[in-house]
Amino acid sequence: MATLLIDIGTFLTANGVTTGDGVDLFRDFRPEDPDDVVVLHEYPGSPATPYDSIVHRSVQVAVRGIDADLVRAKALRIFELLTAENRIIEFTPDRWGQVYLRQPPFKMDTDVRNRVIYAFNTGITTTKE
Amino acid sequence: MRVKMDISSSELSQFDFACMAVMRNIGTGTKKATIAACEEILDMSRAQVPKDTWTMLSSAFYEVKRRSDVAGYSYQGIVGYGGNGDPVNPKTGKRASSYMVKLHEDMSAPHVNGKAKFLEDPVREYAEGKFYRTIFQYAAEAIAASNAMNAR
Repeated sequence: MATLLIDIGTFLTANGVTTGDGVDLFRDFRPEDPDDVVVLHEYPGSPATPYDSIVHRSVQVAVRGIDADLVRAKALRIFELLTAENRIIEFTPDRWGQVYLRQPPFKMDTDVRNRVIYAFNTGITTTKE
Repeated sequence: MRVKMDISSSELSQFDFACMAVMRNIGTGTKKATIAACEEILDMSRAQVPKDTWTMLSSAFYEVKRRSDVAGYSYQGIVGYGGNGDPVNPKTGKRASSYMVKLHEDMSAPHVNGKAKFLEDPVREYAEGKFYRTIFQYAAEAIAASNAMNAR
């Protein structure tokens, strides 16, 4: 099992939303180029308990691009991919996650190069690594 | 099997009065607990909010109000930024409310003397570790105050 962000990235690439890690998909880092990128950030979740094999983690999905409509559409597409009736998403054959979508995509910023960034936050319950 | 109960109306009135006193004290305790929770979350958040010009910090606020849509003693606490007259950043000329979402959510941008998620993280931390402690503390105080009043 890879790290959670790599597994989510693999899932997004498998679903045709991104081309690949380091190409238009980045983890905990948003490069200046290319313009169109998807960035996955992890931030604090809940403390792990020694007797439990699962952990609650927090992941932000951010989408940047030039065309605001396309950026929003891509963010919504990822949002839909992470939506399931029972909230269980199989990111890879080795990794499942129960995904709590904390809000729908919102406009976070327009940067100095006039690129729009949409983002949303999730809580993911998954197995310990 | 039979059970016989003798109830005097004066004792029933006393019991009714004691229950009302407990409810009033619980209501006061609920308000105090909500204020305490807001203050503690805001203190934790102030420690984490970026402090470049201190504009965002000075816009931090909380407010507690009684909920009119719920029966009984129910209070709502709001903790946030962009309050206190929504101060203007001296460097950019922008009001705190105009850039607080970006400052809070953008985890790739540099944050001078602080970090992103400066409000969400303290709220989660408080909810997981301290919320129940606050509830128990103020509920216990309210019940103790009622007991002391009833003992008189």
